[in-house]
Amino acid sequence: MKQKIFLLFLSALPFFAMAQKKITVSGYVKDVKTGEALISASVYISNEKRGTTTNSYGFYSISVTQADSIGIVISYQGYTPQLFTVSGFTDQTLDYNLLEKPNDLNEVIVSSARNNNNISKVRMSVINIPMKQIKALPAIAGETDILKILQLLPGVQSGKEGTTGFYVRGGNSDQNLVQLDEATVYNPNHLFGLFSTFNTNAINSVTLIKGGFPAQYGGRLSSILDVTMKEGNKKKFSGEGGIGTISVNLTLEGPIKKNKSSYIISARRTFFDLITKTVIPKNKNNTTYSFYDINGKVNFELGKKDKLYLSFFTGLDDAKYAGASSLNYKINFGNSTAIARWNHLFNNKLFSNTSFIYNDYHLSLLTTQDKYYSQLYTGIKDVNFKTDFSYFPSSSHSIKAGFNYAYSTLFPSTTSAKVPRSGNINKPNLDSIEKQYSSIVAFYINDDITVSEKLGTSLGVRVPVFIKSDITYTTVEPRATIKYQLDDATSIKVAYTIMNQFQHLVPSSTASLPTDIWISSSRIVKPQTSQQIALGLFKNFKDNVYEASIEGYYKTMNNQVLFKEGAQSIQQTAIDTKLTFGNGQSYGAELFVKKNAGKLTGWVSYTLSWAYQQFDSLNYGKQFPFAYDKRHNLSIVAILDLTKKWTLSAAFVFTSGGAYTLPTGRAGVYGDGSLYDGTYNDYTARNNYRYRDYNRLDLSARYHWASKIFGKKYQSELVISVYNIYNRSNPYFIYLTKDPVTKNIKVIQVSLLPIIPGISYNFKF
Amino acid sequence: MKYPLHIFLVTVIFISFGCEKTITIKQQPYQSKLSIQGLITPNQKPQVYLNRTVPYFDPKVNTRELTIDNATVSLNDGISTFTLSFDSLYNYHYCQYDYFYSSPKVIQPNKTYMLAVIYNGVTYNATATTNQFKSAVTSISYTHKFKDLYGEHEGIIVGYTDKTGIGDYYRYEMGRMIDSSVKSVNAVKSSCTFGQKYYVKEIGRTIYPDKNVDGLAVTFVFEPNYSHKKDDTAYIRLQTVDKNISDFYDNLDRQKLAQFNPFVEPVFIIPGQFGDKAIGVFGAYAVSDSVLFIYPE
Repeated sequence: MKQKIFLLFLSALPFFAMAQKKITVSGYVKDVKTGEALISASVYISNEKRGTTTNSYGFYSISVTQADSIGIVISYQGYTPQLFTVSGFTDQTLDYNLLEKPNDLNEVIVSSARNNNNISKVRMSVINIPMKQIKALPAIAGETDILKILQLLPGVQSGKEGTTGFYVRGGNSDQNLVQLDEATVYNPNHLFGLFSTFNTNAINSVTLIKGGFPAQYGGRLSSILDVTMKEGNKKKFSGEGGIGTISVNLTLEGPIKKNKSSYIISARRTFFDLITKTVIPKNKNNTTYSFYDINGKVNFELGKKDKLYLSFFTGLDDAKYAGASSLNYKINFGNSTAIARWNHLFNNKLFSNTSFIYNDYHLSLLTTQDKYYSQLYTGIKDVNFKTDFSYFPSSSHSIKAGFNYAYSTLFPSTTSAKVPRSGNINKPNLDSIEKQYSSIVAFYINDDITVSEKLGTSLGVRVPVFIKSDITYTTVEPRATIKYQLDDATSIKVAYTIMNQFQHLVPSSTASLPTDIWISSSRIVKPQTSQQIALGLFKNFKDNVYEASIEGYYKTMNNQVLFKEGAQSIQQTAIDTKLTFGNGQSYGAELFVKKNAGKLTGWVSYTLSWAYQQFDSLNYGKQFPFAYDKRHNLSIVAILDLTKKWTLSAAFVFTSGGAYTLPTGRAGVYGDGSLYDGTYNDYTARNNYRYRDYNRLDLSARYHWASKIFGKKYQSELVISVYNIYNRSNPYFIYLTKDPVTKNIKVIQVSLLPIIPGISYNFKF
Repeated sequence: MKYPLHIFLVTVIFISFGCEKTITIKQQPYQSKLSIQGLITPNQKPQVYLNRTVPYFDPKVNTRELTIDNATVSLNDGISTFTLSFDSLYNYHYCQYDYFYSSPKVIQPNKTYMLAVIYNGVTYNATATTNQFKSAVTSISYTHKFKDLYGEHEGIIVGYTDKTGIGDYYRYEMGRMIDSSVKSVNAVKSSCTFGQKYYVKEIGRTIYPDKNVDGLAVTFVFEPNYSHKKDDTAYIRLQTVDKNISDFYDNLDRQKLAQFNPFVEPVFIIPGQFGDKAIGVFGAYAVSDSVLFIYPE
């Protein structure tokens, strides 16, 4: 039945694309100073009161009814909007260059030109965060970070402090597809999750999609975080860098051939390890930490219709931590990606991109706690080939279609037991880990249809096929979003999506540390599937200065994976046999109010949500709260451009405590059961207790100034930041101790991050 | 430059040393249940331990506080019913009394017994049949280093031959005379015996089913509970337990493993013979003849 609907949909597309007396206006929108593509810039046709946005390469194409002249407004947040009038008789290829606004020009915006993409676009549950705003937000130890800012958005929950990952609309952290230039980043974190692997100086744009997923995205249930690297300055050699409390970074970029090709190279490294080596004697140095990441990209214009992009990213973390008395761990993990992309413009209505992506990820973790250890190794190697076409046949249609083939090799291994008396824990033998080979082939097509001035829809379907030696899963994922615009400042939208996921991170819901491990779908491990419906009301005020939205969602998730009760591997055996499978559901409401312009900008985000799971073999088969079921989640973010030189920012976060499991009763063991420690526990429900509520306030002050060195102009910035300014002891994890004689039980809460002051100096030339 | 360096050092210290503090958790409402542990074996007096479960953070830990002494406990062997009376034995290692219900009437082989516990007007019933075969220990040796789910530990290797036919379950039993210099694995020493020797009996946590080894010669390694010296002696026996005992104590064993290892998901107690009304077991077992073991180190 699903296949029939799909075929019907495909056959109907040409009828939608009926030709009229139209011309096509197409081109690129770029930064005037650097030539950098501006992604998701608004291109608005004032004659027809409608518009489009640029794609990931800054390209746009829109069909317009023939006219003597056409008014075009180009806008992008943080840039001065521009109004153009062009001839409307023939097709036009028009590249536009926008100028970044200086800090003091926030007020001088032509109100009609401030875009209302959040109202007019069919997409919902999508948030674009301008890099300028990211860089202005409070820093931790002098470093601004994308993931920390994501966690301030509605529907996004942070994990425990010091652990990796974020959680979107009740989904586990593995259900987020994090992409850097289309390459999957399996672990986007540095420093126990304090920072992401994304160096803000090398990033062009960040988009988070939580629902209403367009068909070009697949492979994850809960969200897409699409991060695009800068292309490099095509106009002149330039650079920026900085030194913070724990790291130093440098980015250099410039033209290879002016206005035609460019490069960018960006590197960041901690010096924490170098300092601790000198300050603490080697034999007492139980806490060391180092990370680095390097981003590089070159791009070439191969004529007017072809562009080639070559980029890479590599990052590594290596840490040894001896923190709370019960806890030690050693971790080493890294992501490396290499990407080649070729853009081809067939004509002004058909744009294509072909990508070849190589990805290598590994994580090796050894944790000891309470005389027990957990050792895991998880590795993933992906080779990915994809081709995407964007076709703009008429003013009513914007069609995307594509094909994707990915070949993955996963190396999962996990062992856990009591620490041997010798204290020596053998490293896993990587050659003996059973490898999991699989392929995914996916096809998709998506059409953004403008039915009328008020009504728009985005319809799509994705067909992924998962292939493993002994099993094949073929699934069909319909996607639909409908927008009805009540007026220029108000719209309502509804979205329905089905998603599938073939790679799974098996979480340990009770362990205090990230002992999660990636595995592939198999005959035993069925693909995770989700259905999500979201409904939203979007309203802008005061000429789009204020954006507000309220979204409700309901999501079901099948074939969720958890470890069985008591599952413990003392040897590297098939992990599949240690797993149990169940379902999940989540629902909630998200309120978002954002101020885009003025001296004071920022947002308030509040999420009220519920997330539950049900596994036949867990919790007596009854439903239980998801570990990250946090009822209330409030974020308040403010950025104040106090003067031309001073910018102040603050971020306050409050979240309800996550869930964890403790026994509710206990009983004695008699009859010479001395090895039972004298008691056994009566668990009445899983995840029955809650951590203490989490809250913290971060502050940051930035001082900017310009200076000249050897006649060359430099911009400098001093950032003073304080993380967790009132030094709240937020819970990291909880463990129990029992006196062997009195049998009295004590509950110990471990907190990781107290007040952390930071200072950094940044420069740009 | 001095100021940023100070800030850096403070940061290093904060990040290096996480903060631990004892907190109070509000106990969730908990409906106390009956805990019944009654094991019977031929030619021995029955012993039924009857306790109340308490909220996890309840300060009551003493056996006297947890024991139920006002229940009516009886056994029916199909012919007659006899009542068990409240009794106790002193536990010299933990220096407290263990309380149970017992009867002077010994258990007979190849009989089905029905346990009836009447407490607060509710009757709890379960049956057990004493038809387990008496196995034999065929070999005993010692290893000072062995690695299994419980970690790396010393071990006593016990050999036996499984009886043909699936459905047999085994666990070890060891009796020793010890004194107050001996520690149990949880580091407890007797504080009330003052050098005087006393008898301890320990029973293995692990249940060994005959799945995949039916009818074969088998060995397993167990970790003794009490510390020892060279030439200390002990008597080792092998219990053949019924399925009810196997299920309940295997469940407890897996729970203990998960409780000690923070990287393992918690294990819930599965409702057994008494359903949701009470936790516990009523089962039968047979014991092999004892074999002398002398610690070689």
